[in-house]
Amino acid sequence: MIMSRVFLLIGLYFLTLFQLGFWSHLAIDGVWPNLVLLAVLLVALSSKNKGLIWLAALWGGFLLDIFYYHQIGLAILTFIILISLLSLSRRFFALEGMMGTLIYLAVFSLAYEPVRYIISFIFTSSPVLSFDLFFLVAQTVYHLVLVLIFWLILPVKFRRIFSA
Amino acid sequence: MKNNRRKWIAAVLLVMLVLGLSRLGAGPIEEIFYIASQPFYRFFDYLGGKASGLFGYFRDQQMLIIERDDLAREKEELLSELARLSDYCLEKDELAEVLGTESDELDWRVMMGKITYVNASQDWIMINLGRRDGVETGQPVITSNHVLAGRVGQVYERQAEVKLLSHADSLVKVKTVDVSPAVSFLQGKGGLRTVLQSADLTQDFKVGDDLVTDVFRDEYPANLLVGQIVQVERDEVRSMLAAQVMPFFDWSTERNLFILEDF
Repeated sequence: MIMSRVFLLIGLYFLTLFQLGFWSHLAIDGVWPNLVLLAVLLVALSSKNKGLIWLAALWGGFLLDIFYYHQIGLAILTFIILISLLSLSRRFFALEGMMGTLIYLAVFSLAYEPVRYIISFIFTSSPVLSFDLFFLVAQTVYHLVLVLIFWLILPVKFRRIFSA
Repeated sequence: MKNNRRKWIAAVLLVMLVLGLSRLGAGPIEEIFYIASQPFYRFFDYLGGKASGLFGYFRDQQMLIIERDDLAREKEELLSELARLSDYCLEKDELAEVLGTESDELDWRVMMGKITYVNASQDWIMINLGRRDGVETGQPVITSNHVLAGRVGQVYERQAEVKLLSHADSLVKVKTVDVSPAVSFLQGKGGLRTVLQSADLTQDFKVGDDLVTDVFRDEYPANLLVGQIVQVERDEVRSMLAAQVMPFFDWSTERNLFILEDF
């Protein structure tokens, strides 16, 4: 149990740096994937360990706050809200398998920026609307394509992490 | 029940902690993380740069193909434009031939002078060029827009008289601007009036026709702008055509004139 948490902390840390250092060079038409969001959502979808899910949300949000938004709390609260909504929605709409994962990922990838925008009201009195519909849709498609690619290239025993 | 209460307390404390941290700012924590992460970040950055270069190669190749297609399309458009312009050029040459003009550049030798005095009642003006400048009687005088003003009359040492087209001594061979131009003589009648007269009633002079000079005894170069027909009268009995012409030259708006020394 402890090992999986340590692995999660280190994994998300390097994933953030990977996103920041490596993937920023591979932006397609100004759109890049939010790998940390993707990882946190995948953990929330595949794991039954609530402690691990909340740890992923808090740590992932913290790392994004530190390296991206330079404002502690913005991404953490966004992730808390997203994971809460995800848990809630899974009680009513139990989508399973790979298709379920893709649908949840699409919905919550699309919801990330608007939720972050709403949260930003708490931190600043005049938040800047820094997202557009094209970016949201393109980033969501980017996420789905990445998940599909990994699902196809990873060995079968690892594919369960992509199943809701 | 107790467990749930603990969870709620933990959640509230967590939110308070997050909000508290946000108020404090991320400065020192951010710095520690940045310093600790620098080597890894640089490594990923290096890898990203390399990967970008690799993808960039394919992307550039794709761009080159698109650009090549665009250029091919543009070339076709330009060729079509060129063909159309060639037609225009031919038409222009034909028209120039009809009008008796050369399509080459004009190589006139001119002198520029200023209007110093206007005698409208006697249809002449004075310019500040004279004998000492090489001005001779009979030389055509035009404006910068190739509008014929008249001809040099009396020449003095430092100035010269220019007889306007409406001067009684003025007689200019003119033609209409047309593929088959009507040709006749424009006679100055004094009092700023010019009349075109012709013994041929069939000549197609109409109100609104623009007139330009025609070559006649090398007095003027061809195709200088002269004036516009404002009224046409045909006398069937005397078999005479008379047209009132409004000269294009307007001394009230011109300051500089050009004397054609050689044309």
